[in-house]
Amino acid sequence: MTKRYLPSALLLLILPTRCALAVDEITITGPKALVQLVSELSQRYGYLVTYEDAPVDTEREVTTMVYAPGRMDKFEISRPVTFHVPRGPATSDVSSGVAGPEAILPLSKELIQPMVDEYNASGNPSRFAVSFDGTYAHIYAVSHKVNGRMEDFQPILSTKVTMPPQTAPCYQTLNYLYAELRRMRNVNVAQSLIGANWLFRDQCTIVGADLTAGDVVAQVAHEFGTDHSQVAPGKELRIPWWLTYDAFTDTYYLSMHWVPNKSPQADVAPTSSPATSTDTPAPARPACTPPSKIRPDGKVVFDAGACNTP
Amino acid sequence: MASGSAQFGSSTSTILTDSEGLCSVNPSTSSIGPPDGESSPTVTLAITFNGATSGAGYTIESEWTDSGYDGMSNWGNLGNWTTSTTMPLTVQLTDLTQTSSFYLVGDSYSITVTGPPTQPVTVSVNGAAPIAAVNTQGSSSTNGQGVWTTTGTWGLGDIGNYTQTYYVAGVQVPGLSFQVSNGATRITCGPTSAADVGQGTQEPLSVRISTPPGSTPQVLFSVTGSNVNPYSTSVSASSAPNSSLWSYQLATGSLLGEYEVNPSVQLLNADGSVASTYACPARVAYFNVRVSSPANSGPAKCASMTGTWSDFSRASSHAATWNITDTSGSLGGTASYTGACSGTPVNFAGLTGSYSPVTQAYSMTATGPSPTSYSCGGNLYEPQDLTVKGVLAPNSCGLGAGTYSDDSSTTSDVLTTERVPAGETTQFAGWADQYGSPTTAMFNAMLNTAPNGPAYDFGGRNVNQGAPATPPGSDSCWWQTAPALGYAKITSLSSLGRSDPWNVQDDHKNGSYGIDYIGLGDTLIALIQLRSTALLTSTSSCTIQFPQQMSINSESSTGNDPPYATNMIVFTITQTTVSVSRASVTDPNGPRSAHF
Repeated sequence: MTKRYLPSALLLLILPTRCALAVDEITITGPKALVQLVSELSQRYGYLVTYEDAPVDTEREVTTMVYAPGRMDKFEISRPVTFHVPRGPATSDVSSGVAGPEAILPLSKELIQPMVDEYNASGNPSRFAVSFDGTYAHIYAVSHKVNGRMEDFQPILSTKVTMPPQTAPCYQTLNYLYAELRRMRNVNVAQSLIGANWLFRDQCTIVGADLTAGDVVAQVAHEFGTDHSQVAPGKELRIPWWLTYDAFTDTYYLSMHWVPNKSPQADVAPTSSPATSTDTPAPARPACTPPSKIRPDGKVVFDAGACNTP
Repeated sequence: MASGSAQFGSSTSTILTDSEGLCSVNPSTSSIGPPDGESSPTVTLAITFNGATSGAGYTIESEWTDSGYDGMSNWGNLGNWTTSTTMPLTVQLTDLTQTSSFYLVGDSYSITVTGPPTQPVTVSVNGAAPIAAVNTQGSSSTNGQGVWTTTGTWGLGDIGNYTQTYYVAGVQVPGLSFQVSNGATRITCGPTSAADVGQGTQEPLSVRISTPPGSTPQVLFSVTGSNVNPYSTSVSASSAPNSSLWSYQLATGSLLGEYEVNPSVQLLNADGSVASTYACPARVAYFNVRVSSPANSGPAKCASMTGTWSDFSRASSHAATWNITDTSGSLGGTASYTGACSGTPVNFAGLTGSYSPVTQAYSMTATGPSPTSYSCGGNLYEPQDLTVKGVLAPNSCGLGAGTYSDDSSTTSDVLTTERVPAGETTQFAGWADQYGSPTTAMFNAMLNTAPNGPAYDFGGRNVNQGAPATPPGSDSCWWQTAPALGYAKITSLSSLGRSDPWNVQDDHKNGSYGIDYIGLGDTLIALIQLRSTALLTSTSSCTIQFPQQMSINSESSTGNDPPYATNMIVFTITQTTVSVSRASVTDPNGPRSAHF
């Protein structure tokens, strides 16, 4: 049995036939295939995956589209990519004996790496790597094309920054971070989708020294997710971030998204549409977001042992 | 029968006048035929539809009679007619890359020809015979609106002088003459850099400019506020020697809101006068100047004890149930318990007491037990008035810790049954202009209790938002290149992030909370208005909507916050406006005019 979902013109998700090695196929045909995949991984499977771009070769990897007089856009040339998302064994309903959908596998580097490899082999801009810190998988560009030649790229969020120690509204903290990145890397960084309530209502305190921009973003995400520890352990929000590069404005855009708890690592099936997200805990094995805390050195760490994960 | 136009008379007759003014008939260009025939005549009428716009539909019917009105036909349908407005014959060349007076190799361009709809377009280049003008869509005809357009990029092989004469349906369009030159004199602009800042700090503007060797450039930044925060200035940037980076630090002490930056380059003559001005195309940048908004209200004291409570830790097993009505701190209601030995229900006729929202201390006494005595197991039981005193726990309005009056050594914890709002009423509180975010809407909400239910003030509780699975969200503003902006389709509240809980305040009604800030970000709104393919025309609009499920903190031991309302959040965006609605409540003044 094969199910097909077409959430948009860009995506083709083919759920697996019932077999030992279940795999979902996600085909993306538009620009920024990898960040679109990350979006799907978050919304469908609840995977916590961050994403970081590199600039593209504007002479060779960017095209201009004129939609109407005075209306134009510049974007990356793209090739379709089909990603394969592995799934676990089918669940079963004990009472009925009927086989259920395949389970979501635990997030790991080994889970994400083949998808990054599929992207890297697709001929689309830049090359990416993946790391896993026990809670988040981080996908980041490590090389990109400059004047037609591939060159190594130091991820923007790996840049060492100096942040003022005081508590400030989080939008100010982020503005300061953008200014630091401009100073250190001569890049333009702007805010994209970050919840207005977060920006208006939350205060951020950045602690630690010798921080990277990624550490700062992680601390801000921690603040957004925990509200100064008013949120019960295990209930803090799961907030990955994306730093995407836009060729039209030559600007990086930082966005943060709340990933509803799909209970990855639990015996539940992915949703078939991004719209059907829910934060209802999984019934079979209650999911747990490892409590995070900020160490004195400014690193956000997760207490995976607090969760009853397999 | 005579034929020709004379049959209609020399002027517009009654017959030829439409009393409704929809159309008129020109008799001089109308006719009747066939000439001198005895068969049915053919009538040709020259009809002009008055004020008709393209696409207006008419049904044309006729009847006939002879000159003596001896006979008359029935009305008969001649057919339907859809009018069209013929576009004027025009041709326009637009350089999409830059706006200098030069057309340069490497520039993208568009050529747009207008004329009658669905007519062939031909072009003569430098006097050659006209050939079909095939555009990038493979069409060589005007479309249904009378427009033919093509785009392209000039290459090295295009250098030269051009006279292009276009024809629509063989009719010449006023000519087009231009020159494409190589890039030796080319001025190029890198992307403009700007940043969101707090008010009072310096806004760093920069752009990288390449100019012809030996030229003397001067770079200007034109800074324009949105229509909500009007502002306009032009500042002259500076650069280090031999550097292509031009920058300017703009003071933002008087700025607040969203701003647009457009760089331009002036090439100066030796005497400092301006030789030419080059507006950097498609190099717009946006920045936002903001001030801090006040913190939302902190936790409030529990405003009311109205509810059904159980004291559950009495050493004896006859824990009582208290049905409390709290009227401005004065407690009333009833109480009961079940006799431990016999299961005899003991009901109290009255309940008195007090509750202080300031100290969260309560004292209540159930009086008048009935029955006054009962026997069980050979013992006589005489129920007494029952008094409990205590204090509600911090951050919990449904749990109290105290003692019994008849046994101060015995704790008397009280726990209420779950009290959940029946819904909430949303109130539009304005736009966040004062904080520098003119496209962010602010809402407050007032909690509701069930009609005819007990009046309970939810002050002291807290509410949160979540992303329910249904109803599904949708996003028609998203376009294919939007992921470059970190903008995935917004079909769920999760795309915008879930905030901290709101603390419900005592409003001496049922409790209220706020502010719920709802916005996509001013820069993203500007980029959607600029680039979304859903907004190609001035009349088009797009919509983003998703559900917001509201829940209140649980008072039970389950820990699951019970939901009590689902609001639809809807953004509607046009090239010039933004509207935000929450639970169908929006700015009563209509969509926000917000644009550059």
